[in-house]
Amino acid sequence: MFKIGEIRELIRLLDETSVQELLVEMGDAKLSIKKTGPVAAPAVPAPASVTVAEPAAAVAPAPAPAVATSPTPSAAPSAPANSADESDIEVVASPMVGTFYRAPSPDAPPYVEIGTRVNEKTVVCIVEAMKLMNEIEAETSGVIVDILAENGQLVEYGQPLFKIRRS
Amino acid sequence: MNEQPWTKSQTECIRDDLVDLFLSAGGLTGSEASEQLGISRTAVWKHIQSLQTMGFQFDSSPRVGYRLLAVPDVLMEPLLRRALPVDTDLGRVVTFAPEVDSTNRVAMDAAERGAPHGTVVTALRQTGGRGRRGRPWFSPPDGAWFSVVLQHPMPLRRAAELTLIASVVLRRALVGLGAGAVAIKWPNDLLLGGRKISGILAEIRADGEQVQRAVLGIGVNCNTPAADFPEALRDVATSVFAETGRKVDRIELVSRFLSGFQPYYDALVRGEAAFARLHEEWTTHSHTLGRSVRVQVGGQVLAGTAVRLDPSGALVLRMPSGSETEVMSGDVLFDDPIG
Repeated sequence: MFKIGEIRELIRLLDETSVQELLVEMGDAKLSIKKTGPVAAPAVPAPASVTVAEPAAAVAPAPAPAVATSPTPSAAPSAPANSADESDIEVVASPMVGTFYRAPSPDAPPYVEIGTRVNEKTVVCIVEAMKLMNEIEAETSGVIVDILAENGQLVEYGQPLFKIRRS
Repeated sequence: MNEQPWTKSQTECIRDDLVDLFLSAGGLTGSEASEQLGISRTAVWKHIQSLQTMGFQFDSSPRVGYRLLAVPDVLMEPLLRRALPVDTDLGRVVTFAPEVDSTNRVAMDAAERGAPHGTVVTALRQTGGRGRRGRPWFSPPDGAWFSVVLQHPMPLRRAAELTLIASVVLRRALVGLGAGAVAIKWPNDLLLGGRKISGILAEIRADGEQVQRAVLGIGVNCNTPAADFPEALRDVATSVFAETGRKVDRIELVSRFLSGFQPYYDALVRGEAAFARLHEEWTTHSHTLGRSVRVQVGGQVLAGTAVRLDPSGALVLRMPSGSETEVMSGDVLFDDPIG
């Protein structure tokens, strides 16, 4: 049997990732959580629909996710020049809420520019919250083709920061 | 970047072993030291010369050999080991140099090259000490400058708690050593008399939702005389010594910090909301709450009253309109006179 706290934690986990659907089985209890809206629904946070199938166990309805964590790309995804090539594109998204910095310090050159070749381990920016500096790595090998946030801007969880063309 | 696995230099290991020998025996002849460490007597002599420049005092005579007369308060492995509680894992490996550019930079490099969990990187002085956004941090030889390598994976959503927990634990350690009324400025600066005595800055490398490694960097203005602060810093920075007339034992400070921090860190690694247990203590000693503040966030200045700290660590401002806003990042400026 799942505890309300566990269900809440799972919803939160799902909310924080790009995973669309989660099925958990514990003993004879099954829990299925599925996001309804499309991944990049910008306007309304996608509510998670929860169905719990447990034999003879009354479960109170799980609370809807409290925080709106759906990505809110402020720069509307402009139509790519040649959308056929979009399959090569990886988006680096912010893993947390914080301030986006393109350089290690105000007078240092940016980590990357459009056209910079990167590998998986290349640091592309810092996202800072409460003096915790998260050095974000490209996690893809390729070339930076777009920079989607401004230096010093507050970024949301899941907000796209860079586009990288895999190569 | 250097991709070699990280180890302490052999020279440093021998130096630490020599200090260990003296701490256990008190006195040694050159040939005893040479035999026990497997180095030449000339090498022993050179190490003793170098230890003297770090503040160790020796007496030497042809018959008796070297006698250790005085041990300085420097953050060296054999000295810290003797102060650490037995159940503390952090600080078992310490690399100490008279001077480095930035302990955080050295520690992140060491962490990436597999330095053991809990390794502490420290130095008498930093030549390129860094604050937030690469701001220079004045790091003369009388401070405690150290960075802790944290190698256990932990959930990213817990990571911001690292620096908040560190501020409360460091405050406890300082108060326990007689620093007086230390206050916490959001998110994690420590103040005495309204001026900064400590800064904390963490750097992490994450893989998606999982933090792979972290470096927690801490600077404390311990024993710097007031007159040694550059003119430009005197209104905003001070030291425990300048405020209280008391010298801080740095070995004891770091030992208390590491042993105090460890249980909260372990809880974060387990995914627990560890800062929640310190939230009340943070709030009680906050310098920020209840004040009228301005916070620069992403090119915009928010002005309001700091009303509370969210358990996540975000600062909650009540705006003139009556609405509330959560602040996750940015510099807090006070409208009131400091103090």
